[in-house]
Amino acid sequence: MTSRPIISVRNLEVGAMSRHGMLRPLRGIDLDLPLGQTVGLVGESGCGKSMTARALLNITPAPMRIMGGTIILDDGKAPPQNLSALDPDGVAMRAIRGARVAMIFQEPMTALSPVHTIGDQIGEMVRIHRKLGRREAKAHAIEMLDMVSMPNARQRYDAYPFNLSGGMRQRAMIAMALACGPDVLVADEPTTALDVTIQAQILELLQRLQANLGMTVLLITHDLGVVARTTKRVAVMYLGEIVEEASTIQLFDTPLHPYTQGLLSSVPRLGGRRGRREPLPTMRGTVPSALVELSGCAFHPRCPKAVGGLCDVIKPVMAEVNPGHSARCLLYPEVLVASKRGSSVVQPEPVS
Amino acid sequence: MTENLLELRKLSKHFPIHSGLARRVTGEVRAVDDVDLIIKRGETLGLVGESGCGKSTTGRAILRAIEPTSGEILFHGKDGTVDVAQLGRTELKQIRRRMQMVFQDPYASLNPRMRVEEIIAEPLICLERMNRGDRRDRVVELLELVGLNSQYLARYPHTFSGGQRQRIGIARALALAPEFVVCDEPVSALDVSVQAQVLNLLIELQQRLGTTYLFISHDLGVIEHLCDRVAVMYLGRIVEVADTEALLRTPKMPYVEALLASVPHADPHAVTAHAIVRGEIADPANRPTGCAFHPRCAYATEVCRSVAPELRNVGSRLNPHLAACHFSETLQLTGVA
Repeated sequence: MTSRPIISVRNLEVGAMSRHGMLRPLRGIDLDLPLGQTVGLVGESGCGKSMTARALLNITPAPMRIMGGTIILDDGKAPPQNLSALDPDGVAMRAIRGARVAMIFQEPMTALSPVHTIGDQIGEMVRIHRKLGRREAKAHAIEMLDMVSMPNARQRYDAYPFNLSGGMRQRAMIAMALACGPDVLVADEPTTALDVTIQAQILELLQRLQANLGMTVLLITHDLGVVARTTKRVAVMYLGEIVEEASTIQLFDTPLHPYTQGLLSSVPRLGGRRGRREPLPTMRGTVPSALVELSGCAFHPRCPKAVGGLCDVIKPVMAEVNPGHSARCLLYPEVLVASKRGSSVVQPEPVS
Repeated sequence: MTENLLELRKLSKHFPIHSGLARRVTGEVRAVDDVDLIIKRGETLGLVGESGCGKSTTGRAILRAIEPTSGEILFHGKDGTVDVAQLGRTELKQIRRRMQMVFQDPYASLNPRMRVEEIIAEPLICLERMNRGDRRDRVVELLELVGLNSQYLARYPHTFSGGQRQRIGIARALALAPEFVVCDEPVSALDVSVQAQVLNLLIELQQRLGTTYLFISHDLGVIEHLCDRVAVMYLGRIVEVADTEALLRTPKMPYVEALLASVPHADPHAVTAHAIVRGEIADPANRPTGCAFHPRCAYATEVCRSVAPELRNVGSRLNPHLAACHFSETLQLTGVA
């Protein structure tokens, strides 16, 4: 699109062997994060959003591990590197994690250490990555707290997470993530645990920082309102795959995938002109578990538009349907053609 | 004119704060503070507010799932009015037949050691004289009412998805055919595709059974879709009550304006309003003087710092619009377009 990708994910697979079979939370993710943009990643719980975030930093929770695919980081600071090939605990990965690619988590109370002051936690970042001394680290930490508009930054340096409100904890975590000036920030549901008035403050802060610092942000959320407010591009996930990818405006104006259409229409929106108590469109069933292996399209058992003999047989691939707007749905001829070409599925013999 | 089913008068719930070695009472949290509220028969009243504002405590205090500190809870039944707050054990049991609750967390609100049949039958066992056969028939009927298969009777909660569990919770609440149900964030823990199913079910059941709902939620989109009237709470007090349409389009209290502006619209074309509130939600143990919202309010003046505004009617007599703000008449507040 407009700018080159700073992170380019291809065919990323994360999985683990379990007693019940192969768990596959990520089933071949392709995703580009264009330099200096905010990309949204949406989906329901269990679709693999958070796993994608963790895979980008090579911190998949054990026993999950990256089984295949590439994550190319090309931030211009070093030659392009494939993060998925690095040892998660190795020196190379640790030099990137936190310094060049950073992450903020949903629940700041569990993500921050309860026994260290937030100042220490922020300062630790630059002490480790930039080898700053204690005094310099402290000055830097206070500067970071100022940058995230922490009230009384100097006094808050000595505060423990339990001294802070949810909104302030999230500010502290953002300060910590940005302490080393990363080029890429992965924000995993950064406002889900917050109230709406505080959520609005944090989203505004993230937008301001992103613009000022020219950061690239991957914003993971289940809230379509948050996506509409803060992102330029969006990818929609379902059962470990990206099923639609478009500019935010395209996605909301003309959603292509039946799953996206269902997500958009089933939420009662404030100020939406739906009649009071008019039945909401629903989707059948729930998101299947990461153990499930479905033939054909992963969404076909729940899809209102599924075509028997097609959707349950051919595995769809992502293909561009409109300029800059791709989907993984066989109802679009572009996808059907690409899927037939790409897949090794043996077509059923025509009945004579 | 619809009659009132429930009337809260100066309902309060204060929790003591203990500190020090002796655990002496050093203060109190006024979780619910002099709440006046009317719930009309057959309506859905939305109760909105941010976490810690006292909305769940209000809901629970009405059923006396927690004991209110003071105030009246007048229940206007067909056979006269009772003050739920004054009832003794046996009478309370009888009134709970008519008031029930659906909880937020479908994982925590069902006993994992009980089968579905036992869960739904429990209110019937406690409060209804019924023989085994009739009871089972009623449970099957309830399961079907909430859209579940009667083959599920012998299953345990862990074998169900979140949406199915919430259906079981709803079936249990409806077992005694109550007139009034407190729905405490019944869809907040559910994914959006499942949330729509449960909302549709609640609406359908209300239309069929004529139940009155107090619907507690922080999701204003859900509130708009479901509720006839809305009450907004801030720091233990009701700050605005009006018909849904009026409250959302023409709010009369600055906090409500800020709340509405903070909701991110699922429309990328929408221009983001920057009426974002400053500061944090105040601490209910340390209530600001005057209007509790004044430290965050863009319109606050001297009087707001010193005098607490009363909840008063700023609408018409026929179409009441209650707001607790000194300047409701003069401020031009923006609602949802």
